[in-house]
Amino acid sequence: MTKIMEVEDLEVVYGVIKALQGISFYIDEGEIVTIIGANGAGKSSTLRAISGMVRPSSGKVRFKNKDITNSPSHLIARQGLSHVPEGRGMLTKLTVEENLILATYNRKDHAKVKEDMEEVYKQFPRLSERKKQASGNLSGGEQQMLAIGRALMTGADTLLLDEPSMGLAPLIVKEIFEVIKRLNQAGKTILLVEQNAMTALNTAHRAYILENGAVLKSGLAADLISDPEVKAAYLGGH
Amino acid sequence: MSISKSFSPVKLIILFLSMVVLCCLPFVVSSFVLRIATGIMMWIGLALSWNMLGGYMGYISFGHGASFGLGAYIAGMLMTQLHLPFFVSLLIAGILTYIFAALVGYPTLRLSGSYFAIGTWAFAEMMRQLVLVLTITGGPEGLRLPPMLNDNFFYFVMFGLALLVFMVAYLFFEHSDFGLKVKAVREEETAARTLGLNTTWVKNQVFALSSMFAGIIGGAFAYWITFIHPDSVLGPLIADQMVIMVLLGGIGTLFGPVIGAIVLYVGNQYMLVMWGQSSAYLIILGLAICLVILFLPEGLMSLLRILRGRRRGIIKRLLPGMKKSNI
Repeated sequence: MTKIMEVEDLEVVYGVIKALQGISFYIDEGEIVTIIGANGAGKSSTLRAISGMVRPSSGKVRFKNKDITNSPSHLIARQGLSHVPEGRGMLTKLTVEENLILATYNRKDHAKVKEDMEEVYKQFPRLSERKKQASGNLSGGEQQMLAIGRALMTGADTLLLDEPSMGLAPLIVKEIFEVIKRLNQAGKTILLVEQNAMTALNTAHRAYILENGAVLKSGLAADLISDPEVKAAYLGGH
Repeated sequence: MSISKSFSPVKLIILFLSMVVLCCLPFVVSSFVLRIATGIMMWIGLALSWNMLGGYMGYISFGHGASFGLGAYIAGMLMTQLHLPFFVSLLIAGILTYIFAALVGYPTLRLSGSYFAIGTWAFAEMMRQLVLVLTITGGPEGLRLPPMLNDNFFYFVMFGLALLVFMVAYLFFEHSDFGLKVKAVREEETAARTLGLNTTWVKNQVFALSSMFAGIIGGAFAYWITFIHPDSVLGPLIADQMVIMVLLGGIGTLFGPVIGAIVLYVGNQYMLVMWGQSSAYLIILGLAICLVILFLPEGLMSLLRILRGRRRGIIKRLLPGMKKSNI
């Protein structure tokens, strides 16, 4: 398998606080990789540094064999890497349809846009029913689906998902993770950041555990689930 | 793909009839009324131009008066010092204001929210002080333009400009891909960037475009009034009035700024005639703003919606405690 993304010694500093103390990891094409950890472990900072929303103070991000470390975020997005931000980033006054259309403006392959739109509506029938509604009026689960659908409409092949389960009912969380699995089977590479460690480990192929801005442990998700230390700290251990 | 919404035939007919009426206006009303109508047109144009930036993009600027004043001074100086014809001066004033705003926008648009408001305000104040001390602008003496005493001419110029700004707002901000991008910046800038939108470019374009229109209108104003002074075209009240007109009418809507400009300007002139120069206007203005923000947060435009029969939603919002059966 080929590495689609490589992160090397990534460091992010907010004022005097070091949010990331030099983390390294990689993602293979077609994988689901999850980064789990407690609040403030540096999960969101990792995603934000990758997608260009914050400038890393040092380190490198390579995507599809290109150094994207200091590219502006809209150019990173145009290379097929879409970040679904924490809190879903709804354009609340715009309709569902407008949210989706907006995501296609950077694309050159106009012929495929229509196809993708139909695919998104097929994946998320509820969005199709609410096409003309303001996205701010959707339920939390529907908004998360729209956020993911929107990322797909950018034509991205790699998705960065920041806490897709946040604030959602367990049943909806299950649905969202089904979607993530389905997208992966359809060929999307996914980097998933989660506090909900159990669900994340059950979905992902590999995982990195972050603590205080550094990688504490990494390995196959299946191995980490049974790791006693991980169990105790993150899975409400037995 | 694009979003398609269009005017209904009824609306088109109303719009057409009002155009005809407005074109005939100079030939039926007194010159006093015509001057007020010219002022209304000017403020409609200014409010619409401010709305591009503050309404559709959500960047509340208190420095838009600087663009107006800049346009007025550029056009005035071109006409008096280089003796260029009016329309040529107007065009150059527009282009230069656009370029100037693009340069100013680059640093100021990095700010957002109230910081942007303060930044633009400070910038406008700086412009006023600069014009006061420079000799080329006439400094505190002001600038006197060659008089042109033709009320009809200025009415049609302002009417044309207001119409132009209205059409740009309608075509580029209400019904286009560009408008959707602008609204995305207002709703969630970071999310817009993750979708591959170059928000810096969009913001700069909107800032420069809306400033350009304010500059052109400023140029026309200078020729109309024939005497400009830093306090009359670069004072803070110019920008304040644009903000208030848009808030009063309905921010981020197409007709809101139009309605706000008409109501505020007519009210202002009425009070001027009744009581002369007094601060009563400002007091009543303040009260009106409080009432609108408390009861009609979407401006007078939401009153229109009541007339259109969406009574219930509004009444419910006004009287949240009321039971459904009572309505």
